[in-house]
Amino acid sequence: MKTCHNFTGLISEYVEGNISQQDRVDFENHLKHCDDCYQKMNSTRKLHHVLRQLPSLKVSPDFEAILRARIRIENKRPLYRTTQLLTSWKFRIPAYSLSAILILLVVVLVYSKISQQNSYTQQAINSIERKGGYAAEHSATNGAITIYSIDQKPIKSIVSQNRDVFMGQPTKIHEKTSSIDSTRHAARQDKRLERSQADRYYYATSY
Amino acid sequence: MVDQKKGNRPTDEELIEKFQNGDLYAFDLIVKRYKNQLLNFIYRFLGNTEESEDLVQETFLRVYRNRKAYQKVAKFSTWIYTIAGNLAKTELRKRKRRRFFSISELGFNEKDYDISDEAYNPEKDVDSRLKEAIIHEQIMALSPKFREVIILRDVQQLSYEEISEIVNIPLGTVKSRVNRGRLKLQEKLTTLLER
Repeated sequence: MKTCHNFTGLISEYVEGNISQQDRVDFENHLKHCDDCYQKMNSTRKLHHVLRQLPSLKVSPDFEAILRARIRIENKRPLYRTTQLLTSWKFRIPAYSLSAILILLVVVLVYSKISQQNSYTQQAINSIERKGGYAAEHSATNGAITIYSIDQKPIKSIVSQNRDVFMGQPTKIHEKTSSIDSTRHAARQDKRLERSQADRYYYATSY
Repeated sequence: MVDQKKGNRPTDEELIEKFQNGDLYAFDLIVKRYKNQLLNFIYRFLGNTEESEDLVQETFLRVYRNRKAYQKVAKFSTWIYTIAGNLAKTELRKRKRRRFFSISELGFNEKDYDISDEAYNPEKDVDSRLKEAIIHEQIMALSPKFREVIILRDVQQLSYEEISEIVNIPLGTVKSRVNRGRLKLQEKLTTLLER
């Protein structure tokens, strides 16, 4: 047994005459007994008619003249032409390709510089180890090189501040030498320290 | 609909094809065909004639600019109504953001527009204008999703299939939305409809 709820969805179709034969018969039978649905159907029918009869507005008389003027302005506007060019695929495809190539080049360049810098650092450490007779440790976090004496005490910490090292021009290093208090006294006593310092400056300027 | 071929009258699709091939006169004919239809659609949606006319201008400018984007698979009428509808909805969103409110939006304080009335009767005219203003106010009071389909179906008299394409919702949803929209509207206009 269909209820009012079932028939409510059919009101528009009934008013517009787009209802199936079976639904029409069912709905009309229901309308005979249901005042509420009848009222709704009747109001919808009137509304449908009223909405179709709403007055039609017309554009102002100069509408087309204004439109033509706007089109003329737009055709002359260089910005519009540039925008058209920039948004066309004829421009986009080479632009995207060029951008991709440039990005790839930058990535390769940066990677090669990093590798080169690591190589220089390693070379420096090797030199210090080989020539100075001291152990050296390279910190990956701040790039500092710490030199240890034979008895495993840190003697000096060298922090490179010169970006040229990174950029692959390690001919000159401006270094900040921070003394480590605990080793200063020992270093003073050890004459070999002077030799290591001399070595350090020598190596710093040689690689 | 306006795109039915009657005698030598070219269809909308033929006109846009000519326009795509550089025939500016075809564009003029499209403007003549759709300017008032679009004005009524946007006006019933936004409720302001000046803004609506600006948006109709903008719709035609977009058709002009993007003429190459139109493809024959779709009906021209659905394409142009989609452009106009999107512009109207964008305008509505802008208004919400601005929290814009003006009494003129209610439709009582509109600039005069040309309504053809052969049998002019001042009393009848006032009555019908008042009636129209009340109906318009209640259409504006509907939520945009109901308002749009009601205007397209009952004011613009487009088919359900066309509305489905313009609003981009399934046919069944369009039908139920139209039905629910009408019920909402007739509840608010009970007094007026019983006259």
